[in-house]
Amino acid sequence: MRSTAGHRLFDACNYLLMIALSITFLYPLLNVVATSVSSGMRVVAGTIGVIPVDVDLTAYRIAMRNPMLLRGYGNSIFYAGAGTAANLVLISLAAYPLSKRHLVFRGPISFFIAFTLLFSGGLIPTFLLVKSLGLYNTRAWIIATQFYHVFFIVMLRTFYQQIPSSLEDAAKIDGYNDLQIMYRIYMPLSKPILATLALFSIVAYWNDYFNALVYLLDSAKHPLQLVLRDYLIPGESVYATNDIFRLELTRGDFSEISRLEMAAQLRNTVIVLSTAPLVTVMLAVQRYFRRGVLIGALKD
Amino acid sequence: MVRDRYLLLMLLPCILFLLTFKYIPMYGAILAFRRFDLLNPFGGEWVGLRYFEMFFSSRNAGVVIRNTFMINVWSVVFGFPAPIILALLVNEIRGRSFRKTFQVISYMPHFISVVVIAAMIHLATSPGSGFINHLLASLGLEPIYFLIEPAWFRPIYIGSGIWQEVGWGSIIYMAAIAGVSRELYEAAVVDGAGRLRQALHVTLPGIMPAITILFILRMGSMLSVGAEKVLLLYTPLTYDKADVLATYLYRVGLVHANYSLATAIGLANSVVSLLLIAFVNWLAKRYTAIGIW
Repeated sequence: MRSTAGHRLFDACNYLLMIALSITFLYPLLNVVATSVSSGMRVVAGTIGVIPVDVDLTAYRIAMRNPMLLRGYGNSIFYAGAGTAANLVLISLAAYPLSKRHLVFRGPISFFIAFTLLFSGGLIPTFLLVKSLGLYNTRAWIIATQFYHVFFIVMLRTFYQQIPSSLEDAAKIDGYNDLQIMYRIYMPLSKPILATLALFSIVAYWNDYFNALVYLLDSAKHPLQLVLRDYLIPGESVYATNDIFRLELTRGDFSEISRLEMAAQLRNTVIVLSTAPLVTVMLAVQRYFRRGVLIGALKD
Repeated sequence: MVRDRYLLLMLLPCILFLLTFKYIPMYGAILAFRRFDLLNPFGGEWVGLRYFEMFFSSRNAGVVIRNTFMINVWSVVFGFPAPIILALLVNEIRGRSFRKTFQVISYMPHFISVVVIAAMIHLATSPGSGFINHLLASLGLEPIYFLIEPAWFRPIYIGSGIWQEVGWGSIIYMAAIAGVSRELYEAAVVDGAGRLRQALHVTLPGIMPAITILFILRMGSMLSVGAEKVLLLYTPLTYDKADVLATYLYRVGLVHANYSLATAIGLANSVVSLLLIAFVNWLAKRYTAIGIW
């Protein structure tokens, strides 16, 4: 290799750049975590970086007992759990036949599915349809909003295509039908991609607030993100009336100043509480987004 | 047909679902040409192009179309190359564990919800306690009310979007880079190419098909900006720069229940987007022989 000095200089700069970028990605997140566990006085003063100061967990104690937050949590766990289970079954059922090159009408059916990406009837016709089917303000429709993402179907189909057809032929000789082949042979071989799709699906449910905003009226059915939006985003509605911690903070344990301080700390606390589960799941599944799992979508 | 009956049966739920919840609303878009009617979900009396004229002759049309387009232009200029450059740089990292750690860190922002991102922006830019204004104050500068200044909307929206998605977006390019043949690098080394020239003359052309496909797809959405994030960051004070087609449609359709007008806005947007992607695909196929269909 030539110009070793130049190489070393480039490597050094590249490492420094990557470290700087890591700090850019992590600083805002660590700042929220540090703020959530630091004393409210320091929070209001705005002097907290990434290291907690005067650790104080009162905000977590208050947040974890808040009925509205807990209800949102419960709803989101239900939507993400039930929805993802259903989603994986439905996507597998669709992807398996599409992975068979001999399937009749394979082209037209693929086009029928892909066209939904290119053109859409729009928000209002969908909304009116959902209303006239009696699905407005139902948990069932919130679950159905994340069904059949085309990208998920294509990823799984491409993965199934790479499974050698000799396995299928052998199973056919043993008298398996298509459903059994999918369930007994294909799905066990597809654990990495199913784990990745499960993660994507959980993220889609957990992080969605817009569908809930459009389709849910009852606050008892609201997912966590909509509860958070009402609490965290100052908007057209009056900020104070959406304060889910109003009761706790006016009960008398807090002076006017400490109430402000606690409110500042609580905002960061609910952010941590709502984001931590997903980041944990992501870290558990990340070894599966190796090359190969995602390239599938690019191939066709 | 008979041989594949089980396979077709397995596809049936998918077909029925898409038919109901994607294709019926496509038909339902005829509401754009009809007056809304309580008894008929997709409209009663035909009124022709009345709602399209109503939208395009309003002052808002110009504002929201311009904003939607400009947000996309700046997103493409800064946001499209970012993951490609990042992937090329990550590819040059020699240490395996450093590289893996960096990648996981760079994915993290992608998993944060849009509500939390918006909340973090509200908190960080708050004139009283946000760390950005503390930083400005420590430099002796005046505090800035970032979220009520129209001029700050695009930089905040686009910058936070890049921060959130650049790492995640680089995955697909990393996968494409992994697919470039080793032999090409060996040949380049024999020809005396250094690392920069390998990156520019081997890696970059090697991932060009991936870049082209993603660029075509990106072009198809030059006239769409999702309502989700804008709704959380804009205020009537910043509508002039922040209001986009999707948020305007949301207010017209769902806040003011002006269903026909909102459907017309959505339909115009969908049709133009479809034509746009078809045109870019045709161009790409003509000049690079790569297309999405």
